Amino acid sequence: MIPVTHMLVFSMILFGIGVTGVLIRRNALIMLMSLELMMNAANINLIVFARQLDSLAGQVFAIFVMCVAASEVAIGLAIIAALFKNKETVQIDYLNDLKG
Amino acid sequence: MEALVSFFSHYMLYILMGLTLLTAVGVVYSKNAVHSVVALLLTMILVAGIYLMLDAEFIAAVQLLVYAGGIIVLFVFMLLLVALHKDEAQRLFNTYTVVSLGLVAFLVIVLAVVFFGMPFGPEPATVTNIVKGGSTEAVAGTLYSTYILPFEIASILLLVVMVGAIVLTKERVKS
Repeated sequence: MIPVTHMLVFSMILFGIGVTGVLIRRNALIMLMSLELMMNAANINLIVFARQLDSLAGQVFAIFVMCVAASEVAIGLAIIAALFKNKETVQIDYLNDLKG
Repeated sequence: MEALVSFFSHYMLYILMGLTLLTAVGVVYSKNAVHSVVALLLTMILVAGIYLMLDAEFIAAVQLLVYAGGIIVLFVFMLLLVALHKDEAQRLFNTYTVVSLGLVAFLVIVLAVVFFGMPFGPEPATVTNIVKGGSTEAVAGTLYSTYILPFEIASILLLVVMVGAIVLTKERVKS
């Protein structure tokens, strides 16, 4: 088994890739996918510490995180569908109606 | 053969981690959104492999069912619904890409330094609680006893999401 620190750095890099995706992509679908990457990074941390501390709370909360992630994707995609119906695009920089 | 098996059992986690990072980069940098979805599918499967290596068989199975089975299918349906080919000629990234990349790299480096400075203590040589009777039985025992209230709240959350998704996407009928 490998040290906890290596797993933490790995999940940090995975989280960073997710943040990068949200920051630099203009397509709302890809931004949602990057959010999923960040959720997965958090989940990996939970599982790693469940093993390190020999406690099941981490694994149980990983299930709750997955539940919230699935809900978030369902609502996010519904919002994107509604946006596409109104604006005919999913590029987020065209969605600037609130700008003064 | 012996050497190969011992090599893989020792470095399997690192191999999985490297492949996961590669496919995750593929999600962000693919030009075609369909390629992004396929890369996301591969990422989820590889993360399930990492869970398997960390004695969490049940979480690995749930990961495959929920992500590879459910969320990816949702994304593919959404790709079919929105006409992405109209946006193909446009630029892929935002204007502040380099600044964003620099900030994220800074964040990752700072946190990596912090992680390496933390005293986490040695690895547990044997884990007993999380593998007692298999990970599934252990997780079920904890989930339905100690964490029954969050479990019920999660069910209400899923119900709200189901209603919300239907309300958001259905046609408005003028009454």
